[in-house]
Amino acid sequence: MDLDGLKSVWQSQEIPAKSMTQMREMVREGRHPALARTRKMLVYEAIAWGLFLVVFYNAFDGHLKPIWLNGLLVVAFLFLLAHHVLGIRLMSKHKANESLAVSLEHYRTALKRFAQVNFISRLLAIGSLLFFFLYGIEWNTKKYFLSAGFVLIIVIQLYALNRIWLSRISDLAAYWQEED
Amino acid sequence: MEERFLQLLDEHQGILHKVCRLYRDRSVDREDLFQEIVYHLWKAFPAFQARSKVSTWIYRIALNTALAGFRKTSLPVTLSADLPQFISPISNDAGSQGEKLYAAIRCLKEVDRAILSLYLEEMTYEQIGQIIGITPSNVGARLHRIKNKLKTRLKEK
Repeated sequence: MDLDGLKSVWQSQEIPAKSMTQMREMVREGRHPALARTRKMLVYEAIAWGLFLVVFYNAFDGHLKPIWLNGLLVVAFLFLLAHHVLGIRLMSKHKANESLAVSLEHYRTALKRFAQVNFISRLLAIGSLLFFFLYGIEWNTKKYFLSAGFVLIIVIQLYALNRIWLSRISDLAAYWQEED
Repeated sequence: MEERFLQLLDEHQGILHKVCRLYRDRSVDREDLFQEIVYHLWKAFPAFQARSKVSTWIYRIALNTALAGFRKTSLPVTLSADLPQFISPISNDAGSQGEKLYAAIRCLKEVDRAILSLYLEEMTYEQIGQIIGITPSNVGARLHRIKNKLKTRLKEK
């Protein structure tokens, strides 16, 4: 294909048109598939952790643990859920009427900040949960190994989470790197 | 306002389809991206004061949405070294040429795809520079390199 013909091929392409009804539905329902998936995940997670917060005091002997530890657990999970809500706001923030370079740089900065707080909130939630269950137990060799296993799993999870965020952020930066 | 927006969207929906086709491989992902772009356009519409051309405004938001979204990694495609047994009777028509063009453009880097698509829409270097956020001379330099790369790709196909 000749380069001179590119424009005509580009402009003569048949476009699969959507009807006005389809587009009206999209607008009225405010459809955003990625946002909807995240919202759904947040609702499930909120229900799960909400239930946990309701029952943990009685079911997991919260009354036998210090009040500050119960408080820490509640605060850590509320912080995690609040952070999820911030994530939805970040995704739904409308794409500003500015150049691609400026807009993506703003987005990258926001994503970086979000990733850092995400890491901290996860660490705080999982750490406080582990601390809650391990507090006041009678230690023996088996429990030491079990706890070490849990800690290892948490470290691996957090490492993987961090890698995912770093790769997303570096993908955004890589858009502007010139190829050889 | 909704009717005015829908009218505008209807007139320019080709832009959305083109951007979706440039940045997503699977039709289900293209459909998702289309809806996301409509969502962001609708949210940005009240602030749109027609200072720029409608197509420029739509391109800006569509490209922003496409590049900021997280894509699912596509399955690796294995190409056979053997020639296919059957050749499609429509292999030489405009549709096939368009497919070839899109496939070649999708091999470019994301920002280069955006620059080339704006160029193919007959925008000036000045307009492309404003949308992308680079100088017109930088647009020219990048386009020169993109065209060479595309020429090679299309010769290979």
